[in-house]
Amino acid sequence: MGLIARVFEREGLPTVTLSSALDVSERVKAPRTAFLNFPLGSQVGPPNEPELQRQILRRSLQLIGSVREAGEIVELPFEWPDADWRRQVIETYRHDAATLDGQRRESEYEDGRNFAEQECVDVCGFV
Amino acid sequence: MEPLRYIELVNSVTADLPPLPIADLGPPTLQRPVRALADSRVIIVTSAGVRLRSEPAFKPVNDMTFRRIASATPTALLTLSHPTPVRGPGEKDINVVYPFERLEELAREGVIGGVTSYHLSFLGTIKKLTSLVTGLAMDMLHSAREAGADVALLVPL
Repeated sequence: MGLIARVFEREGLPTVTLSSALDVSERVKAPRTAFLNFPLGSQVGPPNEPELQRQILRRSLQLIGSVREAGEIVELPFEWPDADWRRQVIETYRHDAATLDGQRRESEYEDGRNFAEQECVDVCGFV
Repeated sequence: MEPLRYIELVNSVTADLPPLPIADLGPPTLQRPVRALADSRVIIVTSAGVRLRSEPAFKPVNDMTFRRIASATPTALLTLSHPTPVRGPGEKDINVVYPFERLEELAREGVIGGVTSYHLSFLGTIKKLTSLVTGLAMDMLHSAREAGADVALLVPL
């Protein structure tokens, strides 16, 4: 998603990118990132919590006016309600390891050749 | 509390494959907003593969298309296409990956100037990054412009 944000900004459209994967955001560097230390998959907040979701979106969208440095990652001051969420996410990924492996092979290889690593190098010339 | 390192996590559970390819980029461009947020029309771009239930699913990987989702589409008519292990919360409440109802509420509060008449959706399982930035991203940018967007809110899954 950070790549798309970079294209939009380069072409003149301001963006805010939500993220719960700090390690990925630090690599891709979207122009303005609102980082939420939440389990991946719930960047706008827990399901069926509309008031908390609105608070998160208000704070995220305010970055449009407050971020001064390109690529800034701002951690928003919200905590996920279940302190055990890390263990649950890790277990989910381990449980779905075979599916993830299959998805990676399908998306990163073509005719038996890994093209995805070179794409990460090549794309730097375009954004 | 320390953030979870997803790149390490994916690498650990797919250890038979090369490390997860993630581009490592230099500083981006930063566009100053033309209008105050309270006067800005906001468009959502989601990578959750949100679509109408009545429409075909996205291709599971490297689908270089996007959909326009009318902002007034009721939740009951929408679904996700993303195969990620962490799709559960979005299946319970689509607003956590496609917060269209929350944005409407923020517009009524006056926090933002409004929302576009449609939002944009694609499926984020794309590794053809050059085509992504030269094709799909530009196509979505033009669509955002057509919608009169002043700000884009990008929500990944």
